[in-house]
Order: sequence, then structure tokens, then C-alpha cells
Amino acid sequence: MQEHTLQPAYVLHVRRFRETSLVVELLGASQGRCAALAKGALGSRRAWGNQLQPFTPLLLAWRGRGELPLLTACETAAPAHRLNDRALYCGLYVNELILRLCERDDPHSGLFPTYVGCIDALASVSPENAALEPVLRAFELDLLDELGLGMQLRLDQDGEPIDPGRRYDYLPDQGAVLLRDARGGFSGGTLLGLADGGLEGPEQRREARTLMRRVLDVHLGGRALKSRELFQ
Amino acid sequence: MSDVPLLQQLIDALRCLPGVGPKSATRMAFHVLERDREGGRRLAQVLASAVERIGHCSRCRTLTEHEVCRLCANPQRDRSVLCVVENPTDVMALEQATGFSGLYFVLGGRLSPLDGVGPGELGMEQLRQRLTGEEVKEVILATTTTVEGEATAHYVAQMAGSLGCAVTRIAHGVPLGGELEYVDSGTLAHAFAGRHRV
Repeated sequence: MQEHTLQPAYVLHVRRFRETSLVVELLGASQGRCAALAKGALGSRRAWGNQLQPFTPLLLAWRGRGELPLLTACETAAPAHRLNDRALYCGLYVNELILRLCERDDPHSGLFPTYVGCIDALASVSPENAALEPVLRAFELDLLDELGLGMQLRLDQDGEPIDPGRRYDYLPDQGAVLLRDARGGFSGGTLLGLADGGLEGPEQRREARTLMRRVLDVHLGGRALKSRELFQ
Repeated sequence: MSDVPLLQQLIDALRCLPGVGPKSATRMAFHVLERDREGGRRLAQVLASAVERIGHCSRCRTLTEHEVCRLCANPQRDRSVLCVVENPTDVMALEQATGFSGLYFVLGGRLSPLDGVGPGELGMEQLRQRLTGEEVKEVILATTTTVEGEATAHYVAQMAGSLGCAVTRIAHGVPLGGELEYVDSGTLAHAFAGRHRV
């Protein structure tokens, strides 16, 4: 039996298991994405049910190996991030993205700080698209980097620097391809803005969203993200 | 199925109930057969007709054996207030605990994209039609206080707001008779933020 000490973690998703237990999908600071069984979490003896919620910084300990170790301790490390309105949808989207793209027990060491930074930012910016979208784009890029699927947004396919004034197509497996035509595709400014975290104006935000959606869809294997329906 | 003994079939069938494992199922089966065959017969009859005849109300989606449930059919209820809940059990709980005299709408779950439940699975379209077509002035959100419940509340609030309805949400905070030091920090923070003038 392997006993872990209390470790920082976030709940990504909770599923009911039997009468009073929960299967908790977690993002641990050192374990990456993992899962644990919270036995009796909804019963009267251990009232973990209301603590084991997404977007709450937790300290957790679990015991045992294999698919589903047993949660043995749960403490709230800090008050939950208050995600309001659309920011809450964004939070659910981020969680779904991690669950869909990351394998269990693959310790992506950079993912936890990135996730915390993203949730922090979602909770602090005003819940409007103009403020929320750049936060999501930055997270998507970092997540892809962490998974070894990083995007080259500063150089085109031939190794030439991206020109902010020209237009490019972006092929997920090849990178940016310069377009002869001045229409269609994505502007070089959007690619560079995405890379630098400085998207300007609704047009660049819209292009960046389309681009990231196209790239993520390839990695998601054609199965759409359910949380996108919330934004419609 | 025919070569499995009837007793085993009964035990297996009982296990479809929540919280009933093989042991409890065996105990129930033996109890019915040894001590209470009359009770078992009654259970079988009622269960068969309940499963056959109870459906969902065409207006509020709660469980009923009629086309329209008792609450929706009652002319005394206030049709300008609509309380949105997740499950039929919530309707029952609110009916017993409060003096609410408006109508209900049962979503049949909560928005949980990670479980594959989006707006389409929850009858949001039916709710929209109801808010558009009827004289609903106020929508009361009575979803759970989990993250999914919050997302559901926000979704309904946006929809109702865009259709010109006033939207309110039931308060959450310190339970009656509860002492502050035993209340978890999240609930306490909510209670504090939602304080009102006395």
C-alpha cells in the first residue's frame, strides 16, 4: 500500500458511485490527471461531498495503487474560485478539455500551475467574451505544449517569420502556410497575437477561436466538446 | 433466462433498486416468499401498473399518471410564477416545505457537459416555449448548489432574462439550527455574501 501525504489538487469532475460514494477525477500538483474513490463522501460520517467540487483548491491524500485509489483525507486549502456567469462555462470547458486530452496518471508537471493560473484569471476578469477568450486561448496553447503538441505560430512552414500583414492557412500537422490570396485563412497578426498573448479586437479573437477549435478538433478525434453547447 | 431458477431471477431483478446489493436482494426475496406473499403480490401489481402508467407531465415534465399533472391542472395556482427544479423529487420537497403557490418546471437533471448532458438533453427548448407562450412574470431558480447546478441556473437565468422575465434564485447559506463553527467555509462565504437587511 502506498500512502500519499496531503497534496494540492483540483477536482475536475465528480461522478456518483453507489449510494454515498463519489468517483473523483483530479488534477494533482505532482500526479497530473488522476482519479480517486471518495468512499462514503455523501454519507453522514464524512461530509466531503460539498468540498469535492471543481474550482476549489484542495489538499488531498489517497491510498492504494491501481485504477482507483481510495481518498483518505480532504481539506479545503483556500476558498473556491468564484466563477460567475460565462466564466463558469469557461471553467467547465477547461475541465472537459483536460479530461479529454490528458491521459490518467501522466504527470504533466507544468499543467497544474497553468491550470491554477487559468482558473485564477477566469475568476478575476469580467465575465465577458472580450476578457475570457484570451485566457482560454492561452490555456489551450499551454495545454498543447504540455502534451507535446505545441503549435509553431512565429514561423511559417518554410521557416520564414510570420508577417503580421499577410494571411496564412494553418494545417495542424504542418503549421502556417502562406496564402497567395489576401482573403481566407488567418491573418499573420492573429497568429503572432496568439503566440504573444496579445490578441487585439474582435476580429483577431474570432480568428484565434476558429484556429484553435480546428487544431483541437484534430486532437479530440472528431468527438465534439459538450461544454461548447453552453456558449451558443 | 428460463434455465435460471425463479428465485435467482427474483434476486437479480431486485438488484435494480438503488442501494440493493446481492445480500439485501436475497433477504428481500426470502422475506417476500416466506413471510409476506400477499405484500409481494401487491408490490408486483402496483409496480407493474406504475411503470406502465406513470409518465411525464406534458407541461412541467414531473411524474404523473395523467397528461397534465395535478399541480399544473389546478386553476388556483399562480401561473405568473414558475419554479425551475432539477428533479421530480425537488417538486415534492418544495411542495411539502414551502407555501409556494406557483407552478414548476422539471429539467430532469442539470447541465453537466462532462457527463454528456447539454442544454439539448434538459428540455430547455420546452422551457423556452413555455416562457415565450405564457404569462410568466417571475422565474425562480431552485437548482442545486454544485458547480453544475450553478451552470444550469445561469443558463436558465440568461434565457428567462432575454425573454423579459424577472429571475430570482433561492438563497443558500447557514442551515437552521446550525452553528457557524461547524458550517463549511464555502457555505459560510455564500451566506455572508448573500446577507440581507433585517
